[in-house]
Amino acid sequence: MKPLLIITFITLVSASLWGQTTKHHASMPIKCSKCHTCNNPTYLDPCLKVCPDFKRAGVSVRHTADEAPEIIKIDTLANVYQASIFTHKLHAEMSAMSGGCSLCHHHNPPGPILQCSDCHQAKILRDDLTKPGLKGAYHQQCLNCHKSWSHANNCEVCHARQTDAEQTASTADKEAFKGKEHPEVTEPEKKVYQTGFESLPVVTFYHDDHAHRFGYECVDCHKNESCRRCHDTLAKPSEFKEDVHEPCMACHAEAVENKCTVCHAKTEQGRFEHANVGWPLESYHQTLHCQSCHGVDKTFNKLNSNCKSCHKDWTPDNFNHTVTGLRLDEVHASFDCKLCHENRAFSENASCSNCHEGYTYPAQKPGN
Amino acid sequence: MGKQSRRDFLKTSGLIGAGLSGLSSKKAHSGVKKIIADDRMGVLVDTTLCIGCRRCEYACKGAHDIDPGRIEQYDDRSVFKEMRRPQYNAYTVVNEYTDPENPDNPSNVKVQCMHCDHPACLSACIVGAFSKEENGAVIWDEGKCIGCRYCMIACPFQIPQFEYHKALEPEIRKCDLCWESRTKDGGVPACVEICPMEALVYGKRYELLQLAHERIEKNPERYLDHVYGENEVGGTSWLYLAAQDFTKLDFPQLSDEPAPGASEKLQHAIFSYFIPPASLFALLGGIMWINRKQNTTEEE
Repeated sequence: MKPLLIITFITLVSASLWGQTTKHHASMPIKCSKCHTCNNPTYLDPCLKVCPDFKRAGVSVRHTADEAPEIIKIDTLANVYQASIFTHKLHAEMSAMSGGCSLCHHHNPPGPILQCSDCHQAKILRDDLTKPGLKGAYHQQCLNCHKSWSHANNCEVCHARQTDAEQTASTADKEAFKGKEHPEVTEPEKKVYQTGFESLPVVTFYHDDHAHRFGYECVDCHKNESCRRCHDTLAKPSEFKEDVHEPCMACHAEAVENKCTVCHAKTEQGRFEHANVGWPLESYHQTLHCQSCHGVDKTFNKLNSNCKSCHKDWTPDNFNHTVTGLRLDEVHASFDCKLCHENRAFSENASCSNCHEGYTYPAQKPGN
Repeated sequence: MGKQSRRDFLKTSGLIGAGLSGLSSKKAHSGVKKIIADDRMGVLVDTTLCIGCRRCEYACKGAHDIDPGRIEQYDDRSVFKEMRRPQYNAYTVVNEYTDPENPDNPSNVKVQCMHCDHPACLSACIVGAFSKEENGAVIWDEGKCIGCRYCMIACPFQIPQFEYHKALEPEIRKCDLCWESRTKDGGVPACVEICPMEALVYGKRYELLQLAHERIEKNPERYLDHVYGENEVGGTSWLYLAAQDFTKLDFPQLSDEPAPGASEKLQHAIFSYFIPPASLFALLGGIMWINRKQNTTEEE
């Protein structure tokens, strides 16, 4: 009995050690100091940093811009300059097509949304160079967009000098934004592009199909829309310089490479119709989103028309014919499938000729 | 910096010259204090973050007893119309370059002494006025300077400036990494401290290099994959990140070899450990001795 106990003990101990050495995150290739403030973190006292600086999914709490603070007065650093009035809600609405909340709340740990000052200290700590101080963080965040958008880098755009008597002018201006909302962005039904492709110049792009039928989110295509896509304070017409095919590449890469006619034509084209690919959608299938059958990766590859390729759990015993839009009467329901569906070709019309001479589907129906 | 007067220098150099002229090769290095100290400091300049507010120019003047004028004057962006260079009364200047591929985001580039790891000015200085401090700062002793301006010609970045307008005791002027007033005692250079964008980061050079490569890795679209100063002329204390080609931002295209490399090697080889001159004297002595011997035999 004793040797058995000893063997069990050794196995247990080695198993627990094995578990620690292989699974414990201490063996991960990151420095302990990335997340812990003390040298010997324990389970009870992990001494975690508020914001470890490594890539996170960003903001985990989803809420609308309405729930966000409307105006934020940034006055923690005010000395030479006065407090800056930040129209938070307006910016939150504007960021919808350029990264959302995570655009500014970039390394937010899971949980509530943190303020800039929760991670960035007013006093620059030189022990972690990757993280700017609070002043640098504010300015980098604001001017990264404002530099290219408004072309105005001077300090007075955001805050007045402390000595300036007319300071409140700019502050009051911003206060006037209270209650204002960014108007809803309107979307076009379709866009018809005249391209430089001589033989097939016209590209018809159905924006509403892509946005609603095909199940795309705005940000799938509009990843980095800056304010100046719509507003440019210099009112300078900007030319599209980037590769025009780039936004289409995620799905139409193959077409861009080899098959221009998928998008390009001599004249304006109609909408995509599922019947054109040899499978007219009827009844139940018509109500579905594309992804329900084609998967969420939006590649929309051709699927097998065999029912079982999607409805994997269907068997002759559990199949309820009603889902096809035809409820079989009692007599027909008891038959084997192939009596009507010759060769079990379910995508083709059923045949009645095995029993009823001169009957055709759907002129005569075996139920209702 | 003027602890040693010119007279003192001439006296000492005269003595040394008379007695130990052969040891000059060692002397050329005496100004460099541990140039490869692993924890030497540096500044990383992110030209994509810089907004051209020129607060660094203002702070720099203030830290070096130059009248900076009113801070509002620095909001004037018309100065960017022409390219400026450091002056005897402006150790750093910011220039602006438009990016043809991204016309809305001009690059602003701060120019000052790069504080080379192997400074050509130090090598060229015939009176040993220059020194490289352990924190990376390349400084000079105004008391020793004889105004030969060799450093100005040697510098691959054309940084040292000369007070041509002064008839009496003109001096060399350049960025000293705020050595005397700040960094000597662990402080931060004035320009870095004032930068509202933190486009300038002061820290250990190796950490700055890590940071620079991390930024490039995280934003490959934003940055050119090149940290200027990492290898140029054997490495510099000031490092730059940019969105466009450095040559378009008026950075000189330089090899990875230290600027004083070839000339210094040649000069030092002639005198190294006094062996070549000693062997030359030995050879000449030998020839003389043989000739003399022959002469005496002939006389006999």
